[in-house]
Amino acid sequence: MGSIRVRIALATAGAVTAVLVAGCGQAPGSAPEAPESSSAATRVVTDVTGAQVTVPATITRIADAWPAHNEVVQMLGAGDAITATVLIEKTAPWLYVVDPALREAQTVFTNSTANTERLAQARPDVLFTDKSTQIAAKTTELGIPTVQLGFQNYPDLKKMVSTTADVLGPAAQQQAVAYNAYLDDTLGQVRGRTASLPADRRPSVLHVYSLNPLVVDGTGSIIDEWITAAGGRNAAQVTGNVRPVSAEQVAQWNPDVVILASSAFVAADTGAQTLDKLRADPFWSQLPAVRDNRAVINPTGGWHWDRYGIESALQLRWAGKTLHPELFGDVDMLAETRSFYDRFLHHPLTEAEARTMLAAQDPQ
Amino acid sequence: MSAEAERDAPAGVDGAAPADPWRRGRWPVVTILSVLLVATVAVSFAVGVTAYPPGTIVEVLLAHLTGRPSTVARVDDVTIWLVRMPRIVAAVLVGGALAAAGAAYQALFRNPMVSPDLLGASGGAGVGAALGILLSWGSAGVQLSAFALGLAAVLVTYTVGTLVGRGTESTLTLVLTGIVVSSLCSALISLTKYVADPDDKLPQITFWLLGGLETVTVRGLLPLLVPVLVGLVPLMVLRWRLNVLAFGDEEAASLGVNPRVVKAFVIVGATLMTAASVSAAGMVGWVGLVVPHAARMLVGPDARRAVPVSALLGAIFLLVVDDLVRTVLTTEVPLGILTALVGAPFFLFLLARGRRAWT
Repeated sequence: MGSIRVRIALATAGAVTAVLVAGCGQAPGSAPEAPESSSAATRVVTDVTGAQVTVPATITRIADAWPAHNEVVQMLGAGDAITATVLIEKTAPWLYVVDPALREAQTVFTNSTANTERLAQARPDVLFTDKSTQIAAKTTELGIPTVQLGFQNYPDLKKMVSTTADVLGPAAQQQAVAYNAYLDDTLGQVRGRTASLPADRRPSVLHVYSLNPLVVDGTGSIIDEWITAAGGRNAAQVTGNVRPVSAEQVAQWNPDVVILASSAFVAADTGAQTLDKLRADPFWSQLPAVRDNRAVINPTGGWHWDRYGIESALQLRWAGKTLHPELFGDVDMLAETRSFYDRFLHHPLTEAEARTMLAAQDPQ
Repeated sequence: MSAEAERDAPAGVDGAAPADPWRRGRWPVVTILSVLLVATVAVSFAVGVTAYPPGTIVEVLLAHLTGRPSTVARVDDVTIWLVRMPRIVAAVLVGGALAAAGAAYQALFRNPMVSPDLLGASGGAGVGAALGILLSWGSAGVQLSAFALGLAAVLVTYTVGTLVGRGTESTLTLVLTGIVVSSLCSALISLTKYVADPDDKLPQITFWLLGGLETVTVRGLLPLLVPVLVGLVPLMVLRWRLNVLAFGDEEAASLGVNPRVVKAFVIVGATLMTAASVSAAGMVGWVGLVVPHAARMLVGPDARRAVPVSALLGAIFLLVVDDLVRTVLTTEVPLGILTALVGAPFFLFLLARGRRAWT
């Protein structure tokens, strides 16, 4: 008799699920289409996957699942509209200074997960995300216009900025044109000054992402692109971003310059403290670049200058001045940083703040 | 509250555990668990960022199932029908499938440490998913490749195991081949993680490997439901023969049960269920290992009851864990982490309480 019960129970369970799933055959969201939003005007943008995404003409609530992209939204004037984000203040403290409204935003994403329920309840007009097709498929089903973005190089960085601006409207588009022009100018200027350098005057540069484990950035990355533009060569003969390498390889590459990303700082140490430790380290202290004080700290602002973000525009000049002070004597990075933040991030920096950023330290 | 009831039930049965493990317990465990499952489903619909009264939930569900108009606000409709419903159905299906497959495998291989990924189903599915993500396939493509490679891995295990065992297909060679194939798969997964772009692909692969139900779409339920139900059939039909196999292959043959046929059908069924679960929810560990133990503590080792009870318990377990994932933090902890955090201590507790359940 137990077995009959088993069968009945399973049959019931099966039937219930079957009915539920059969109900899904109808187009999702077919029932109560609320009139509130559907009557408003919309526009269509094409995202990086080639998908045509229809977004409301007026965007008042934004969800952003791509850490570096939150700063793009702030630049395009909609930073205070971010209501759901992937950031927490600890990961991008400067961005929270620049865009204090982020403190009101809910953190519903992590690098790899999305809290779809909180996202749905935040009712965003648009979701910006890097290319995670799985999450995008779900959020699209939830009725959230999902714009997938991404870039690997400067031309695509500009496209990403323009696409975001197309979503956000005419004022944002103007700002995007201004930023893209600034990036083009910077690229042209920096490349122009270093173009005639012969190979033997291009220092080899090791960009260290992490010291322990030892991880560096190789060719085929935006890091390689700015090193080259600034008149250097990438010392790391590996392909791609964030590649683990051995100390032996580093010794063999024998870089002329070592650039430490803020992610390479040891625990709670500042950049300066990390450099001190490096000079005391048995391996690193033997490396000529470290021994002869050619190891430097990469600045970090609202987002890491050295990685995939809009402040890469500042990185280009900084790298040029760091590798070739004689060619970039007229460049004042303090002034450049302050004018960039004023013009593009709507947050004038004090000189002390800019100095802190250049030392890759968190806001005081 | 459902968790409490869950705890009460085993204690009640356990106190009166019969000396003869083949005797049925005095409690109608299947009925109790079925009711409990329905109650858990109902509660799961109600809890979350916003708590909904039963009336709203019923209205939304009826509206979608029957096409009746409803007056529920759009955001509530989306939350109940598009966020909670697919997760709840998927949790029930995945939890039930993994636990039933685990129970069947533990009976088939006469080994309590066996889980449904024994023969490489999860490992193969992991390779398929990681590869799909690496090659930038769409979400359906990733799921399909996970499912296909999950099946392929088990096929390889079975074929190689039979070849290595010189056609005799002993259980031991099969299990050992499964271990080899699984570690080969995890090496391949590590390789894809190594070559994946750490800013772009790696988080996706990691996400998939840790498991989660938040990306299960309404449309994605059908590719999960069909293999799970199809795979459940041989397990349910053949479950009494699993008892006979417990005496060993020769004894089973002398009792008129062909061990090869039973083994093949159970493996096919369990593999279908596991591969479908893993391709929909990622690698959700511990369910297939722990839940069958709990089931046997409730009803004893008789596979006729242990398999369905495992399925029901597994469904309840995963549903409760996913409710925690959904509600406790504003960001989600991957499901596989939580099942391990809950499952591992629970397994120790089971070990401490009742070795009797297996031996």
